Amino acid sequence: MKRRRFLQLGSAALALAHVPVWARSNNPNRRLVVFFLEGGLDGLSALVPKGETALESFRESLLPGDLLDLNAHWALDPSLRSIHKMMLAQDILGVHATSFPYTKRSHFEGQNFIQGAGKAPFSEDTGWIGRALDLVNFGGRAMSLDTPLLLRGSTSIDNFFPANVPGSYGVNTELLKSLEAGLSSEWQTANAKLIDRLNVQVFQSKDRSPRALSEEAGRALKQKDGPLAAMIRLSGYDTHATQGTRLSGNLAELDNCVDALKRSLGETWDNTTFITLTEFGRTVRVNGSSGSDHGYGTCMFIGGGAVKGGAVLADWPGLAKSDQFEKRDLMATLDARSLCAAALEHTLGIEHDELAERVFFEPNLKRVTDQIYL
Amino acid sequence: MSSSTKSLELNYVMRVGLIPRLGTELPADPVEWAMGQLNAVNTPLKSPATVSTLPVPDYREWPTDFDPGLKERLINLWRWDEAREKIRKEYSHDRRAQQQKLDEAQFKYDLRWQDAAKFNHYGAYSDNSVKQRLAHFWFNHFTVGSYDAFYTAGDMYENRILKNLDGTFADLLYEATTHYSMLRYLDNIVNISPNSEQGRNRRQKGKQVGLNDNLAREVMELHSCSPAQGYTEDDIHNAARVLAGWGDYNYNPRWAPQDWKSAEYPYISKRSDTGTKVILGKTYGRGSSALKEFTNDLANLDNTRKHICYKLALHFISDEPSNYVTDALESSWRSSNGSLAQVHQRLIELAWTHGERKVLWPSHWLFNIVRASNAHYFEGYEDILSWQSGRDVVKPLTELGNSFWQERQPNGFPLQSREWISLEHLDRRVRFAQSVWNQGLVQASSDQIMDHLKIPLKARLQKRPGAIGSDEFVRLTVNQWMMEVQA
Repeated sequence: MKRRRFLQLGSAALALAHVPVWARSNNPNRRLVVFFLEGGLDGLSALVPKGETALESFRESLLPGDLLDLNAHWALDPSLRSIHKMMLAQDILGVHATSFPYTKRSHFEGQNFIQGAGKAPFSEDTGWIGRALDLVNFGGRAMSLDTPLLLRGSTSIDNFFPANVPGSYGVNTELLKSLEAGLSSEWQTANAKLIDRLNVQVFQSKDRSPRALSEEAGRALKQKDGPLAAMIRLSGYDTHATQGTRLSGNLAELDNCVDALKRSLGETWDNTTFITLTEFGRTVRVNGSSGSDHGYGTCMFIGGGAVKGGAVLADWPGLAKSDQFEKRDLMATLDARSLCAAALEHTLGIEHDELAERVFFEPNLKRVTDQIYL
Repeated sequence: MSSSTKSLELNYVMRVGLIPRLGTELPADPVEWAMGQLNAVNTPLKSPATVSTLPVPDYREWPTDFDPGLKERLINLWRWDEAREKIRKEYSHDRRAQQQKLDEAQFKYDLRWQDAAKFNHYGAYSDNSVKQRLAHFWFNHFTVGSYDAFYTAGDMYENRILKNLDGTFADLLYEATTHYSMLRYLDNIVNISPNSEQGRNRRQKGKQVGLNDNLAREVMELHSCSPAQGYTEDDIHNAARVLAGWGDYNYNPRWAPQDWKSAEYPYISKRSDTGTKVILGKTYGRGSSALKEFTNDLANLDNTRKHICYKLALHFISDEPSNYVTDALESSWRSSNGSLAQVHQRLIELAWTHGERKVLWPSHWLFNIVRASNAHYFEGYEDILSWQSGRDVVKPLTELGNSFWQERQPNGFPLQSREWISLEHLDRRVRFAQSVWNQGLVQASSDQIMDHLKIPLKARLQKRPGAIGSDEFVRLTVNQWMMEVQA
């Protein structure tokens, strides 16, 4: 299996509808959700190129037995049941052999780089979604206690993470207003956002699981004046040892999140794109402890009602030793920033060239939007 | 209230230590105070064993039973394994009894909650807050962040971090790298050389075996020289070979003694790599001594000195440390061959002359408001009555996103101020201020607290007519001068 450009799964050909890019001044109704998979997703386990004979010689022990088939070449890990259904329903696109152009295999540089998306890790104080939201002057929401780099840039970014503090009766507007004079300016901004949020939304659940947060994100995004983008963090992908059980648990969690998001979005699903992001892939060969070590190329899922789903998009590099990056990792043949730019172009209506230059600082970034969206 | 309402002394104490508990005066000469703390001998923690006798606290020393040493802790893990198996069989017909027995067994052998409770008490009651603050920095530098690593994390904090604050960085690096919590957290317990005796045996039996480079990578990237060193994958691979054989799941007394060098420095020679290894141009031989040689060499690298001095400055001095500050720290490192006592001393001087704005970690803010109000907010060891309910001990700091007993990535808690500012973080500060007021048995009035903090009269919070006590406490504690230190 070499250099297969676009492996269509469904038998029905998809009509290519022209989606006009709405003007920036229009009321935006599209949404973007990022599932941030912390630790480096082993793409070869999640989206398995099962047609590859080399797979067994390098990592037989990492291959789950009962894969969910997509076609003769591709299959999903058995934990990805909802994603499987949604791929078959042409709602999710798999992308493989992709990565941000970062090859040094450090989690922390990598996680910073895929959020900052500057020239180098730690070179930016804002994230690529934050910068794009600044261009259209709309807000986003992080489903976490902190505000991650990815969304930073716009002052209209807020966050959501339900509190559970015994002995507290909670916050109220009057109390928060009484604090304002004593706070420094950054805290005052946070305080104003907290007051705003008290005025518009009531949260019922105290559940902080990624699944519950995905559901909550869906509820917030479908509001007419809700945030345009949301990020949900999932951890535990750094599977150096006993990868099988750990990864299947992680992937089941991701699967639940995607399912919960779709359900909670309702009709807004048609206007929403979700993507998965991870700092790098992992070694092709299994390591000594039934796990895999830090690598390069990995897979990515892009889903949503407008996504040209039901396929795997890959300029497949092959798995032979000579095809691997530095003779150990899956090669990345598609710059993941192109995929991110496509999601932004579709969601925010900013032209690719502007995104390339002002958000990714890479004027020559390839445009792939037409391969991803209907 | 503006930042100028906080005295320089209070600002400094909060930068390098924690506010003295109400009843203990703020130091008039804070630098001398901090130096004294730095040079003091570690004294046992004294704190209320329980909050049930309050408001009259019964201050006692933390029981030595809860610090039984690493070997005993590891044997306990093995005992617990055995007990679990037995209970599961014996009570297979009665789920409820089984759960009860399992909880009892875990309570007997698993000291995680007692450790976390002690950490809270160090924060709330320790007389030597400067040492605690430094220990927090180093425990974060050498993050162990998984539940299985937490079995022994209390031992790591007590016996590797706190006890090595006065030694060299080289010693601390070795002590942290070889501790069971670190070896387990970063998977080194399964790092087995393919050419070792056990590696060859396993391969013959068709079993999976080989190196795991997780710890090797982080020892270089996070704990010492940082990527600035420009090491290669080969360097990391060979570092993993040096580390092969260090650590195991538990310490089974039936067979361990002949294999382990010791429980404290667990080296299993039949898993180690028999060849020579070249890392950063230097050749290392076989045997357990290669690791100490390797960590010593890492500690001596220019990039290690730079990386560590920068991090210290970032945490204690400024979000954008000046060259003057980092140069000064580096020069004390160089002239003392990496003596932490010297570097810490320089840090404490610089904190007085060059300190800039920093947002304090939420854990330090919580400890400070508990101390300033003389609250008794945290459970004592006698309040932990079962393993299940013991979990509550870690909740406050976990809720604030700043618990050392919460799962997290090896790069630890962020040091930059901006990482700790968000609307949810603010929401938590308000809620915890209420919680401390409502559950911390606060006896002091706002005026007493402000007296303690030496807030000038004209800058005092004015009591608002009809305001309830907890709202006043929130206003007193959720503001710039309690959440931050200033230039």
